[in-house]
Amino acid sequence: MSQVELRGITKRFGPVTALNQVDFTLNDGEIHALLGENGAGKTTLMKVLYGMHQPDEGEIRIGGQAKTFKNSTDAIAQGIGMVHQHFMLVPVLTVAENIVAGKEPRRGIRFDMERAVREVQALSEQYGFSVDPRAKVEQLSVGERQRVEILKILYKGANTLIFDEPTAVLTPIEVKELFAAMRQLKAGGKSIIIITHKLYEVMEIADRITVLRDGRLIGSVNRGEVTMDKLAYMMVGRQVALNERRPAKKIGAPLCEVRGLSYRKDGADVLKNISLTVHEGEILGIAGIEGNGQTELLEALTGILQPDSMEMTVAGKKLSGGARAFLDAGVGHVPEDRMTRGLVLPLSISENAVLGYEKQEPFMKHGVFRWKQVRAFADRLIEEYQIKAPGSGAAVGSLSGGNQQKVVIARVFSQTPDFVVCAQPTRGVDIAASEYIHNVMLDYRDKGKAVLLVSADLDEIKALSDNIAVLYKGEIVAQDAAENFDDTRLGLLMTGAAREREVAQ
Amino acid sequence: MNWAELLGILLISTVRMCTPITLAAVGGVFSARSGVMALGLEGFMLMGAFGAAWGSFVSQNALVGLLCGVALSAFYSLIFALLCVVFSVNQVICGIGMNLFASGFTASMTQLVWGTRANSDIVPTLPHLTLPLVGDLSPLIPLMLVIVAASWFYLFRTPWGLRLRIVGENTPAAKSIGINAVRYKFLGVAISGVLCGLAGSFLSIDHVNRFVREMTAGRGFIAVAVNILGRFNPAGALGGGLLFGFTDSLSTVISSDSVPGQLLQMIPYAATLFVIVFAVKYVSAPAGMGKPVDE
Amino acid sequence: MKGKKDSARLYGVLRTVCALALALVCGGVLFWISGYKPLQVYTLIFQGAFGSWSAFLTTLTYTVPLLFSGLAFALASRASIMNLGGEGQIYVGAMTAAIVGAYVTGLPRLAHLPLSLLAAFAVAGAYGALAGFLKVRFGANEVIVTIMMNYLAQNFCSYLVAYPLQDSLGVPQTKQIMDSARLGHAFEGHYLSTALYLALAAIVIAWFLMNKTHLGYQMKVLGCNQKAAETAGIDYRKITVVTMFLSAGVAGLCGAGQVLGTHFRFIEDFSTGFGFEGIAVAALAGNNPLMILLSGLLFGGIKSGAAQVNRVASLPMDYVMIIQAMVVVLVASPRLIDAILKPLRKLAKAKGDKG
Repeated sequence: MSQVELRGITKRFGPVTALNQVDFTLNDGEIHALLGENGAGKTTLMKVLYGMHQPDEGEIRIGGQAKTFKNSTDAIAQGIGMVHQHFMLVPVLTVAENIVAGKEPRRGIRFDMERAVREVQALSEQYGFSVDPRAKVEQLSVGERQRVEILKILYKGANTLIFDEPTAVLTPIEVKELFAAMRQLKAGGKSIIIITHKLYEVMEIADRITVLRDGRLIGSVNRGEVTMDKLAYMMVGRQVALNERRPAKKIGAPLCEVRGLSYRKDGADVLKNISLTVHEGEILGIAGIEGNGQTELLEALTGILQPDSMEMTVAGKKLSGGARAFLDAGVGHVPEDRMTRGLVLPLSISENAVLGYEKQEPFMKHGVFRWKQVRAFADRLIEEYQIKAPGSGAAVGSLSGGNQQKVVIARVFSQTPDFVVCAQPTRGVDIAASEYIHNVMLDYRDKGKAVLLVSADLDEIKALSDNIAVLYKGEIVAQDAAENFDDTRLGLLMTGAAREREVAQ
Repeated sequence: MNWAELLGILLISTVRMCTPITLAAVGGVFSARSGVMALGLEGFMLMGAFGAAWGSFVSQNALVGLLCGVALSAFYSLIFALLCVVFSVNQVICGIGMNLFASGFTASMTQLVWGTRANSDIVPTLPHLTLPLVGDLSPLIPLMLVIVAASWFYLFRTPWGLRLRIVGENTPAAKSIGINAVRYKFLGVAISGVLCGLAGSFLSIDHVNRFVREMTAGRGFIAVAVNILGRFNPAGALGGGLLFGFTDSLSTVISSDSVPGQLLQMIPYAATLFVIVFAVKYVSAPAGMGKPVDE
Repeated sequence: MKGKKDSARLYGVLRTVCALALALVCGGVLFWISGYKPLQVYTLIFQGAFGSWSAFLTTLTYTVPLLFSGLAFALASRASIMNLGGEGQIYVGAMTAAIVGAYVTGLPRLAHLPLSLLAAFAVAGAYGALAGFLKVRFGANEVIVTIMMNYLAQNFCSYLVAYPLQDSLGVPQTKQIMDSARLGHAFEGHYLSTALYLALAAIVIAWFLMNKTHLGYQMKVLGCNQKAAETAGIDYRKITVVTMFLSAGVAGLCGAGQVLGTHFRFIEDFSTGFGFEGIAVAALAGNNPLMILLSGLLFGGIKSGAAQVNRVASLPMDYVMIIQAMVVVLVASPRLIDAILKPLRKLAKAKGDKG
């Protein structure tokens, strides 16, 4: 019997058709992967099922009966729950409050906190999740928060659980735990939809797979019937080389050296005596779970943050001062979040193309801007880096994620800095643009420059890096050639279960 | 005048002057907790003060005046909510506009009704209670205490209070569990309108007996500072209200022979500045404050 | 593609015009409720403001302070700073000009007048820069800080004219400034002062600063995205304080212009809320210095015309403030305007399809 059915769903946002006649069927007790690139319409489809969007055409059938969901309350009432990619939690409230909100136990007109705690406790024990109902969510790790999200929808009586890119923020070990939990939920009679673009995961967890591309249904298949290459082809529409490595030809002399980088905040070590060397023609990858000091490391290496101690030289020059000084000394910076740090979305491509370098000739002369030169420069970058844009006067915010990121990449690499700090270079970027950006980075390395890569995507680290350093709780716990690491070794290092390098005092 | 007597006057005056500020600040708590910046309090209060004086003048009954004051301020706050919540207007700019409009509107209407833009005619004031020990007491003072307690209970002990706080912290999260975020934001702003209406009425038909142009004199902004100082908690708002009631009453108690009145009148503003500069760092506002509802 | 961009810009202009029209219509409804005939009132206002050369010059006297205060607000807004302290900064600038103009003696006009203006700019600028400093150093919200500083400045100036600087007993004003500190007349036979030229110069300089210089670029980037500014090596603290200094300095010139060109002394409550009116002027102009010229003239015209009408028909002057407040809100409500325009656009489209 098919439990949840979506038939001929079409959803338009203004002139854009996000979903075009998409069918989707979820059987009872299966784990069903919804696979597709960024912007393929996976999340939109699930938001239709969850009542957050209303379809322009098509119908939703639950247990064979047509339903209309005006909002998520209606969907929740039909036993559908969603674990969002960006957790829908309130950090300042307790676990119990977060879980029961919307269906609170009451005593008269009062909210019965004691009963909420008891019920949450019972529920979490039933599924083998260990979370403290009285803890504040802000104190929990990412993995624990995700469990709170799952409990939240189970508490509301969900039979169908939708997971939106659930592994994006997890470590390899947490991913294993999540998958175990999913299997347990399945054994308990729940049906699961997992939205993802990661092929490995699909092959590991899914019973059936539905692929979307550009808002259209490409096909639904059983896992046993497909290979990864076939899925990749369905997803992208052409043959792709999956993370093909291109090792460095020649690693030269040290170009950037960092010694004794330490930073304390609120009495805790955030970065502890970090030393790194990046050579000419090398990409050094920093592996690690987010929140282990990556952000601070990036900010220290680009002059945004003043650490308690650090000696840094690039091409023999000692660096000191703020972001201005670091930029001038030839440290390029691709920030980890292009929306908040990398770009000024309301401003034009040309204004963004010179951001940080705007005082140089020919952009400015005698303290006065020469906008004509700036526009010409931006036009050149648009052509050279194949940025899809209506023109250099268009607001950067109007571009797609991939093209926005290309603007950042173009700005940084066109200034030919000796050393580039590259953070999350392909986050939220489609496969074609990712490939392009990776090639830019590799070509740049092959010109004999040094690149430091920080990424939460372990596959990206493994594919691009010549050497990998592992960051755990603000320390470098291991460093080795990339080919010497496998997933187990990396996983143990990233979670602190092993360390291979004592920090020199 | 002996010291004991002076202290007694200061105490009574403090409690009196704390009333409008606390009422407005508790209103601000509801607004802020639902995620809407409370920068329009000044305008709501001014509307309340005018409405109360007008109602009292027309009906010659102060209670009708009180109702008019509350109704006008509440209605006005709903316009603010409509603009900010439904039409996603920048809440800072909208608050500024609402304050400007209230200034212009009340002044114009004062001229229209009473023929001068400076102040209204004398209107009936609220009847006072006479209690043993305390003596003459405005009924709005015990009402204010009840409101503080009830607000605290509502926000922190009922399911609806929890939902309102979730809306203010993380609107998408609230929506994802089926909470009607728009309704709660309207509720939060409307309560701030009602309470500012009471606060304004206190100024015009209790504290004095007429509407005076710009009679709120920044108390709505002081209430915003009190709101922050009180950590967006009604009980804290009362504490902060007492502090500012004290600074406000200083200028009425200290005789203007020894210190020029203009300088004494600077005290509450200087105190507000002080609070905003030095206390704000340690208080975090609801995380969703100022964000439009559809993001 | 260029056509698309132009039409988007055109629609933006249309929105602003609609917001203004809507504010005027609502103002008209208020006139009507108050027992006036809206069309007649607006006609009278227009005639009173622009009906003759001398009426136009009188309108300019209302316009000049609005140009300064609008520019002050727009400058700060460029860096996303809400400078609501214009009123207080105007008082500080006016008082400074009055003191320097009256008590510094023995200077030739060529030195005394610039000195008075410069002092007003610098002292008011410093007063505003203080708010900027408190923002970057303590994270104090500039909206509340600048409003509190308004009350402080106003009360302190009231104290000065009531006690140490009082000219004659019981009249809250300073003594007259020296002749050498006075601005001249802009045109023969009318009291409009040369503060007009000062305002025009300020507008041109501000335009150049915002669009052509590094400081202007940094203000713009900072105004849109503080973190991106930081990443690009822009010193957020410095730019914030400098922006507030310039913004407040221009507001100070507004006060100085009134003292040195119109009243020749500091008079208590001389400002009719210029600082707050500047918000409306800047909002309507979209914070564009050159457009401030137009929007300042518009609001100056409404004020001037309304003052004429007030004389004959006792129209409350505060109606102007209502219209200004509505402009501030409506210009910031593109979605509301869109919602209003939508049926109109559909109608126009349907007609267009038919024809």
